[in-house]
Amino acid sequence: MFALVLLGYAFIVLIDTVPIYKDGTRREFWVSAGLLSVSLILALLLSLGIDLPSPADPLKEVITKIYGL
Amino acid sequence: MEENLAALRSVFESDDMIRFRMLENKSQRAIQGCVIYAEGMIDHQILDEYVIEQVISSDVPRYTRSDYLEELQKKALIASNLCLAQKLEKITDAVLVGNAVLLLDGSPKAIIIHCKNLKSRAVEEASSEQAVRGPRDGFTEQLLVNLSLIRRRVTSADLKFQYRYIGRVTKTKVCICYLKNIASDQIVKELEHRLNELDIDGIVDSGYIQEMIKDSPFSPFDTIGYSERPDSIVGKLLEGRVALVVDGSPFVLTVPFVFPELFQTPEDYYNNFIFASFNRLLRIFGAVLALFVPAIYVSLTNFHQELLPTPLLLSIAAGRYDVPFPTVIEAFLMLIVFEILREAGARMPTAIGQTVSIVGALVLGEAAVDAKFIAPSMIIIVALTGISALMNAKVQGAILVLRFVFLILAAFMGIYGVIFGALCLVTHLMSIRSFGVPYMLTEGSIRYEDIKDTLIRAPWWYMRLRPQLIASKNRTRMGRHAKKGT
Amino acid sequence: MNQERIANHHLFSMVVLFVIGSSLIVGVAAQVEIDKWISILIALAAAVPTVTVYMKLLSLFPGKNLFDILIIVFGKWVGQLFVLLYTWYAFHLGAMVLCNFGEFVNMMAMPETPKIMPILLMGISCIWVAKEEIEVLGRSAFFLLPILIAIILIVQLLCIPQLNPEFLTPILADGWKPVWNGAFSTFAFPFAETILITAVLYCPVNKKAPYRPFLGGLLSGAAIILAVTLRNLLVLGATLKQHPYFPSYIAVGRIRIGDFLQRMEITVSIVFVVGAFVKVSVCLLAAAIGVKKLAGLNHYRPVVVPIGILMILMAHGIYKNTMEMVEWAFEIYSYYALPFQVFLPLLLLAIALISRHRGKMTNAQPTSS
Repeated sequence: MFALVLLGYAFIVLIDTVPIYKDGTRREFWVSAGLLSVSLILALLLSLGIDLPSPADPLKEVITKIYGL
Repeated sequence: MEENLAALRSVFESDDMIRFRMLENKSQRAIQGCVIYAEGMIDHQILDEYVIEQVISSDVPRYTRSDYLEELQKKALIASNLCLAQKLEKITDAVLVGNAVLLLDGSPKAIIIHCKNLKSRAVEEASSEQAVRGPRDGFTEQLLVNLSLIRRRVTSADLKFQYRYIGRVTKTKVCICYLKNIASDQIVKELEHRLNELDIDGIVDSGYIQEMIKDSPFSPFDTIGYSERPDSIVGKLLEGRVALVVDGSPFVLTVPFVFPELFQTPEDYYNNFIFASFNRLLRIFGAVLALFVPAIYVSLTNFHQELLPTPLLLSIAAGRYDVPFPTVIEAFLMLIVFEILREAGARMPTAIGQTVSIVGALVLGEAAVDAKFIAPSMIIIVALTGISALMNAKVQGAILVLRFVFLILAAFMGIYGVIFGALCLVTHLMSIRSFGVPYMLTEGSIRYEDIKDTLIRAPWWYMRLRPQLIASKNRTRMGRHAKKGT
Repeated sequence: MNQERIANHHLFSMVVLFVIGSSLIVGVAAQVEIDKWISILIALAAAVPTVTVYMKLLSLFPGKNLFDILIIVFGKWVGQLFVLLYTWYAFHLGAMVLCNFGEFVNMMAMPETPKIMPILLMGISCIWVAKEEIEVLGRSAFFLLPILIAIILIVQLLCIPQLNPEFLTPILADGWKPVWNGAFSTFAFPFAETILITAVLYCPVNKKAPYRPFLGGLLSGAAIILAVTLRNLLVLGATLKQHPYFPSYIAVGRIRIGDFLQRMEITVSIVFVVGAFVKVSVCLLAAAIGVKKLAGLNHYRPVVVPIGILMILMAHGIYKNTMEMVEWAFEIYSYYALPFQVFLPLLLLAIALISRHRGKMTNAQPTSS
């Protein structure tokens, strides 16, 4: 699983990030590379079986408190 | 002239086919000339009677060395197609193409006599696109013959032919044809621009050009059309498309090319419109079948058995009872075998054609089923898909590849894989353009006129306007008062 | 700016498919039992003026989409904050729809397939479409709409033998309160989610805002949802309580024509897939355009893939099980979405109208004298 994720990301970098780098648009490259690395870390964590906290729970808390449900 | 001759002899040094024939005028000995030609490629009658004889036997009232060549060209030489040239490259090209060159002592220029006589095929029926009803002449490999086949059908001064030479080594002559008052100037300019950008050694067939200048090179769908029939090309010219005729290839390219054209044949327009509409719908249905049938069969029998009626399910299951392979592998194997048969049928000499078809039918079909390698239902599926794919010549390549993609998707995710594959296919088709015109031109529009020619073929009296994006200059195909039956 | 525009009929199909989106999978107004159709009608009555507000906003700022308007009206810093909020909303909604779809496939259609697979497939398709820009999405929606309508019609017709009109009565057996609850939740999901469509399109300069295709799309989508919900009610009736999760799927499974056509859920799966596809694609586009605005990029194409992947990952891990997902969708979501769908647009409209009025007055004074 882990290896599969890495392979998939290598593929994505090849077809998506490299053309952006070649285009020379620095800002786009950094933003997309940044977001992609965040997702890479998350994907690797997920593939290792670590349970990531879901944003649904804190949101639910906040909303029930605000609206007093 | 001596230097010119020396230069030419050095260019054609080891070439035995090029001949140099010295001339001398019988009355004026100072008039020396030389004719250079490639043996076997010229029409000797023109050269002998209309050129050599004239040079040798013409009476020369006044001889001034400088302009004698032009005088000769205008007054003495009877051949109809002559031109002057001075550049060495042009002269050598002329000889290599099959024309003859006349050099004269005292003049830096040479006369190129167009007396080509290359042997070629007679005009016969196009082998790739045969029609039951419709004209039976097809293009040949000679550029001028093809151009004449087009021109004789369109007697309009608006039909423009523009020559270009492509290929560093082959210097192939190509011709851009379009109707000036209908075709979009942008498309013509874009085509010229792309042809100018071509930097390639040689063009052997129009297919080379097709691949190099087309819009979406990685798409399995063609964005440039081709045809071997003059009537088909003329029909497309009348719609505002631009044609590209390539010397040496009987396939003429048309630009732009949109999705509905994949399912159109020229015969549709000659037959009764109801019959033609039925055939067209059949072709579209066949293409869909060919794409999806193996995938749907695999997904239904593997993942969603509940959809099949029970008796059908039971008979399929009975057929699959002893088969060792999973359905997907079976499907793959049989599809590959079918493609092998098809390709072998295209390549093998006709003498053993019969034998191989018997082998294909009996061995692969009957014997494989009897030996329980594959289920009989798979044979039906594969045969259905294979034959449906052959119905449409132009989409065959795309269907072939995509069929396997859908099969793999179905093996992974059942019908959902197929649906996603279809969604991605739709997205891809919607995103490609052919020379600026969206590929799915008519599927993305609700214009009544555009729909009339895609799914069905509306009767001629309804098709009054041309498709919008291609022929925006001149949309009226026929007058407002053209009525049926009058 | 970018040349992306979509034709009116493309917009219409996109809105219809967006509205149908995930509602046919999950159903609407799960709190209400038999009177769902009343909830839908009430929600529609509230949605029409809301959508008109959205269109009015677009027409006040020709050539600008929702994010641009936010920055113009609220200024740079507060505007960026709101852009961030809407980007999060789009992202969250996309992940939710993906999760709905994944749950559906996992639970009903193919239980042995790991949940990540359908989510991954759907995510990849949506990323591809979003990379091809909105014009392609519009054209694909237009192409797919007739096919979908045909399928829905045929299935409706085939269901006729299974309908039991008596399931509709007694009307309002549980009273008005659940109906209002249901209406509120239906308003938020899916009708007013169309705010996100305003994030991806803009009113062309010198032309009217696309009222007609948008409203037409909303009404048509609502009509389809109504028809399908009625069908589910009439087929399943009181047993609906036992099948709270994917009522459409179960209702269609009851179709039986002779011995030949039965268990035809696959046909409606196509509708689910295409609807969710369009909805997630629009959410992804909106989120990408939001990120583009926040980061000051020239074009959103480079960020579509990373955002799409993040959406897939979030969809995978957002809910622990189906029950939590359904609870979120019907009980909490309406309140959560309220500021995005109602408060902020109204605030925007108010401020925009006031400043325009004030602008007109200050402009009028020098010329009058």
